[in-house]
Amino acid sequence: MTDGTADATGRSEADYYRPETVEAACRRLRDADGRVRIVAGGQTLLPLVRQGLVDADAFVDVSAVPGLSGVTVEDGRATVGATTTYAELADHGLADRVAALGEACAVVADRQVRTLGTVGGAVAHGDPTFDLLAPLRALDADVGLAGPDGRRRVPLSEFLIGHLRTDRHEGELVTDVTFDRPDPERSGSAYERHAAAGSGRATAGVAAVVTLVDGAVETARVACSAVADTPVRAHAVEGDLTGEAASAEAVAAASERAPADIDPIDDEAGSPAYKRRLVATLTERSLLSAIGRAGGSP
Amino acid sequence: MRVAFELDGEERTVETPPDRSLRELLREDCDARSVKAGCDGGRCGACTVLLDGDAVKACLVMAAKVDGRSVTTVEGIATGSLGREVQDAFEEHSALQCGYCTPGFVLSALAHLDDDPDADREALRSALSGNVCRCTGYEKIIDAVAAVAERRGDAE
Ligand SMILES: Cc1cc2nc3c(=O)[nH]c(=O)nc-3n(C[C@H](O)[C@H](O)[C@H](O)COP(=O)(O)OP(=O)(O)OC[C@H]3O[C@@H](n4cnc5c(N)ncnc54)[C@H](O)[C@@H]3O)c2cc1C
Ligand code: FES
Ligand code: FES
Repeated sequence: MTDGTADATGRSEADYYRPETVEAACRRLRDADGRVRIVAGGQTLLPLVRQGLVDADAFVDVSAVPGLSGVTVEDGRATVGATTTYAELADHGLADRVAALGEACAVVADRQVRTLGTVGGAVAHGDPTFDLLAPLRALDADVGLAGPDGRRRVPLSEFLIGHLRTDRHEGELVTDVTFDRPDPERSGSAYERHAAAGSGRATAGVAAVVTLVDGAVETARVACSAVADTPVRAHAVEGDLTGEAASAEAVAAASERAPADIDPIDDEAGSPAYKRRLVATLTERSLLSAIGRAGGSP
Repeated sequence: MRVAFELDGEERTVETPPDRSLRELLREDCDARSVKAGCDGGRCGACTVLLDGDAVKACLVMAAKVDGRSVTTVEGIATGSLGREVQDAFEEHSALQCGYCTPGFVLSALAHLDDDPDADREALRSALSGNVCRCTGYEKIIDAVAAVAERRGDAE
């Protein structure tokens, strides 16, 4: 299976490895001949390969590495393994407790894609339209990596550096994402997105994570997908809302400031002006829903 | 590479480049013609099959991934009671016209009813959202699957 034989077109056949541990995967990434690609669910990768946009001499399929899959919550810190699928995350209690995660999983593509698509694939690809990234940004997640120089952790905000660009070093694989689980007593979260009919991909999405104290906003974290070259935090909204009463009026006023931190492009999904308006609306909706879940009554 | 898997209950061994799609492998090397080719980009669901019992789009699955696993097409479910029931319901409710999309819909419906036997219309609409039909306008497809779900709900 790994002897690199030629297929009918005369093209040399790529090697395909299925390591069973993280260490074995790293060794393959280091030692494989030519250009190596990690495969998880393959839901993004295979179309790129078929279109000739990705050309690999070897594939390292990490989807069956036991240590890379699953969700755990320990001492208030949640860990989601890289090969956890959208379907698995959606089924886990964490996706109910942190509603933004469940809501993001629910809108990704369709049942079939969610069965194979993985959290690590979404993070590693660096596509700012991917729905899970906004909730992870709003949760202040960080990314675990394993590579030739050992393991390291990087904040997601530093890992995602541009459109389809990440801080993944040569030979590294994403092992997991972790974040502090918001206080279940007084926090709430939500993800709201809009996608054009027939496209599926988000035109814009907004995730909000809010913590309340005595009816006021103690902390608010808001992140937007698809409206900049990485998922971005809406710092102006967050700043305006912090310390304010968790009221519909305060949310409406703060949400108008969402366009300040985004940089949408003009594409078939819409004009920058349309996307700015859309993000303000989605910000308001996600904040209201998050505040409601935190026990507030905006 | 050599890929050995079970297709509709039969052992198959096929030589294939690992980065071919399962859709091509099934139609071209295994003559599984019920697995349709629509968009070949994950958008239409016509190529849906069950991989270890779960609905996936064969055009998005690397051929190498099926080694050691089981693949079920619509040909393989006819004998299973739920599979037969879903197929009959499609006929009863006129849920197909040209029929190109039907195998994919039947398999997606089956996978969903497995998890959620008495699914309501809303859940079914969402479960079938990865499958496209150009003919029926979807309502009759939902009618057919909902009828199966209702019968199974009542039977419990
Ligand atoms: C029809 C269709 C509709 C879609 N709609 C949506 C949508 O609405 N919203 C949305 O968010 N997404 C959507 N997607 C994309 C989907 O989210 C991604 O395909 C999926 O999350 C990617 O995960 P994967 O496991 O399939 O990644 P793969 O395709 O296996 O890999 C993707 C990339 O990440 C790399 N990679 C994967 N795992 C790792 C790892 N552990 N470490 C390092 N690198 C890694 C691969 O080398 C590759 O470059 C859609 C895809 C399709 C085909
Ligand atoms: S052919 Fe696979 S989804 Fe259209
Ligand atoms: S019956 Fe013709 S595409 Fe569905």
